Amino acid sequence: MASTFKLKIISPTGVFYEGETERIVVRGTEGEFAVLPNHIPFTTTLALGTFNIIMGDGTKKYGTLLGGIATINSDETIILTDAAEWPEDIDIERAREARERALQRLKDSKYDADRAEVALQRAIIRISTKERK
Amino acid sequence: MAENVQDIKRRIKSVNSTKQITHAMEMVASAKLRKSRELAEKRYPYFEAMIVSMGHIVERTGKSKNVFMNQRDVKKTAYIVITGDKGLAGGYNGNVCKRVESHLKSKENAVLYTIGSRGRDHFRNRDYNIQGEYLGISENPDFFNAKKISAGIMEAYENGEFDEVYLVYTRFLSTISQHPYLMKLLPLDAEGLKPKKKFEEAAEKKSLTGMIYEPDPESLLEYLIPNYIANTLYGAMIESAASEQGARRTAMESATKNANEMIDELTLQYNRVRQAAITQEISEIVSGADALS
Repeated sequence: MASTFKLKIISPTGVFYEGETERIVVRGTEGEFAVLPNHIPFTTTLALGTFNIIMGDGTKKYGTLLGGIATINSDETIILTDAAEWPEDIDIERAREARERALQRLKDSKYDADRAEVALQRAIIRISTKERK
Repeated sequence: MAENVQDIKRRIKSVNSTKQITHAMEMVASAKLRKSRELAEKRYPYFEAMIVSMGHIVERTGKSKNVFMNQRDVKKTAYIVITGDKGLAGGYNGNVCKRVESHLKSKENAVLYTIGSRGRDHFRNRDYNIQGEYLGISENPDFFNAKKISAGIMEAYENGEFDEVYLVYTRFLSTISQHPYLMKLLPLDAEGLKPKKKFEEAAEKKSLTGMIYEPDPESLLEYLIPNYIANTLYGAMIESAASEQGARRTAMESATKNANEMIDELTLQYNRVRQAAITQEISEIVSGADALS
């Protein structure tokens, strides 16, 4: 069996994932990176994106990780995120609506373009995660 | 006797229906209280982990250039006041407002952000400067709302609209005891954030100094501080919601108790009046019969 490390993904609404993990690939603001056991101590901010995880028992899963901060120590990794979801938790209708709304708002100068841009990104990530097979 | 049987009967009925309402409200408040406490428990791990990473970064960077960490001369003070949208919760709303007023130095230099209509009404009637009001969210706090509110406040703070921010909410000590509480939100106290215990274990110390920060500690703080503020506010909102339900429960419990006492008293009175009426009637009949014979 491959070696593992402790991983905790915590969002403001609760602990999203906690357990032994073989590998996780996340998208940092400086680019994608993978965390394996015995990683050097490292702290970075996360971008809006998806993650791929191989759990301790070999199950592979993926999900969304919408911004946050990752603190990696040699034996334990803690990811604080604004929002994390498994594909089955994503409400596709809501995401589609959010995409439409964001697109509308981007055209309209009345709204804050930066915020609409972020909302659009979130929606796109959610939709693509949901539709990924 | 001044009151007749019908009047007393009617009063018993009316007190009884009030009792039913207060009793129902007590039940509802207990259920909501349980929900708020669950929320509080779910928030805790994130907050805990965040405090730890912030502490580490602050320890590493020492004095930060971050605008939210630097003290400046206080000309204007902002208060975030968390109250409920509804009354009938004992002293819950009033105590928070009183706490703010006792801390305020002058009306002119205070800017208020009120969460909940009770606090807003209170301060609007007294002509305070209310910069933001948020209604209908105090009972079901969610992180998104907290983030929106704190983002607005941080922007105003950055623009120099005020120089310190206090958060006033009700601390939930237990189901029967809640206290209004005032804490300083901004500027952040860097010393207070540093880890309390010194790193005695060499391994931990080594891993901390070897930590690589990407892009750099300052940008990590830029991410963490708004989240810290939002989360503190979120926590205060949850705690206030729990306190509101706790206060309401206690208030309704005593209201139900009072109603019960009142019903007992009225029933006693009712029986007395009824008895007196019967006695009187009998003596009338007896004296009538006496007169005939």
